[in-house]
Amino acid sequence: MNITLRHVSKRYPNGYLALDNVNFELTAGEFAFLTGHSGAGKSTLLKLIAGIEFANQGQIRVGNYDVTTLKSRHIPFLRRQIGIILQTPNLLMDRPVFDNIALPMVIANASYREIQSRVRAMLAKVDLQHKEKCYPYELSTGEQQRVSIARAIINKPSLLLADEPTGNLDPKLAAEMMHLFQQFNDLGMSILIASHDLALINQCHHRILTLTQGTVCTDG
Amino acid sequence: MHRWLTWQVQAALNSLGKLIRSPFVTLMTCSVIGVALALPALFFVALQHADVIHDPLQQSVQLTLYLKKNTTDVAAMSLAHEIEKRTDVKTVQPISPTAGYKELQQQMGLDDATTKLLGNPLPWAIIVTPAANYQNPAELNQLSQSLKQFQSVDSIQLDRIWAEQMATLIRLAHRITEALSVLLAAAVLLIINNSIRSATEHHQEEIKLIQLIGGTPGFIRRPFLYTGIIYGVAGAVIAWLLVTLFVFVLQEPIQHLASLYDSDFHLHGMNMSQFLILLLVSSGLGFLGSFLAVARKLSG
Repeated sequence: MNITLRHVSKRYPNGYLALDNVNFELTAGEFAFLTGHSGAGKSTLLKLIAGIEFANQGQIRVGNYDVTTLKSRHIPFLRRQIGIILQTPNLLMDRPVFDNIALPMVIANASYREIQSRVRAMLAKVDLQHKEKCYPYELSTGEQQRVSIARAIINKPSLLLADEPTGNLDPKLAAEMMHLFQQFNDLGMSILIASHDLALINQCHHRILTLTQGTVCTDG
Repeated sequence: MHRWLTWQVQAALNSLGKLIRSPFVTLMTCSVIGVALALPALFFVALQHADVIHDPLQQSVQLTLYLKKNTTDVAAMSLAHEIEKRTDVKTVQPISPTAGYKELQQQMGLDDATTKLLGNPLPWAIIVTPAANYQNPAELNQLSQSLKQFQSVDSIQLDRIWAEQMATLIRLAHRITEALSVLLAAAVLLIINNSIRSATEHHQEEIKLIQLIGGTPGFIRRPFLYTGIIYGVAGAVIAWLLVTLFVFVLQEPIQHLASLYDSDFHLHGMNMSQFLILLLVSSGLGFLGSFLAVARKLSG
């Protein structure tokens, strides 16, 4: 799924200009990092793409959706095409790992049999086969983050957005996670990761978009 | 369709499970709803009994004409015949002073000695039963007025008055019950709305997450709606239990009271259709209360 941003600006109600005339394109199957100092607008940009926040100006296209004019009743269906991973794993603490990973499929009205086989496959992929009955608080931070990744990709989204996914992880775990993302990308998933971990980014040899004060200043 | 139904059932069971896992809070909420519903339900049941007692009274409306003391037997009988011919009169029953006196004697247990001493003070009386469709207060008044025109009629007593007073009281009680029902229904709506609102506060993180991964408002609403409906159903059952208990406790003393009045009056609880109406209204309020609570959460 490709993403196109044309002259996108975002000003928050408090007057803060988070993004100022941003232009870029991410083609289907591409893997890119979005970097910049804190407050440069990385999170805002991801939120605009996922329809969590809305641009004041410009146009954002995600696959066949024009996010800037999208009606609120269509937003859930845009979100189902996108896997979203945040810095904190954001798991439901009162439900076991299996239920947490299954949630997007439950929302999409999948049958129980389908859910069961896909969740098992996902657990294998993130190496948590024996943890499906565990509750999130029984897992380490790295394991929790892997659960959130499994949840993000269980519906086979064509786009994965991640906001500082390795922020809470040690370098070894961060590298493992990047390896996982690389595997998804090899299967054709477009990936956009916001991160300020330059050491990690530089290891990966992918396109890097740098945001400075709300504008894309370097691309490549 | 089958899959949709499966998820509905699952959502309902999930909501039920959640409620059962915090039994004390759930029981408290359902009891408050039950008490709020039991009050108007009790009033309705009580009024239904008032109607049962009052109805036959309505039908036995009679006018008693007391004739002047000097009226002869012939004049009295001919007057009775004349009145009987009227279209607004169903039956007449003339009672001679002697017959009336005998009845009085029996009722009061007077002996012959006393009666001989006092003499017979009773005049001729004619009991008039109006025709079935001339029994409302206005027509009855008209009938009474026109009967007064006869020279030999001394006075007319309308058995109606106290029956009418009772009818007015019952009408008032009906109105009060209706107003009370509306008030208490509003209370039930607010109780359920409040419970669901605090449940949405409690599940704020979950709601946000579901929105983030593409859950529709309908999906988010579903478990809360079932919770609201379950509250309503449980409240209705508790209300029914309370009414039944109330009737059970009152059954014996009321029966005793009725037997003193030679009546086979029976106290009944709610019947099936009344219970179903209560159930429907209560679960409807549960649905509405939770719908409004979640709508506020989703828009906020």
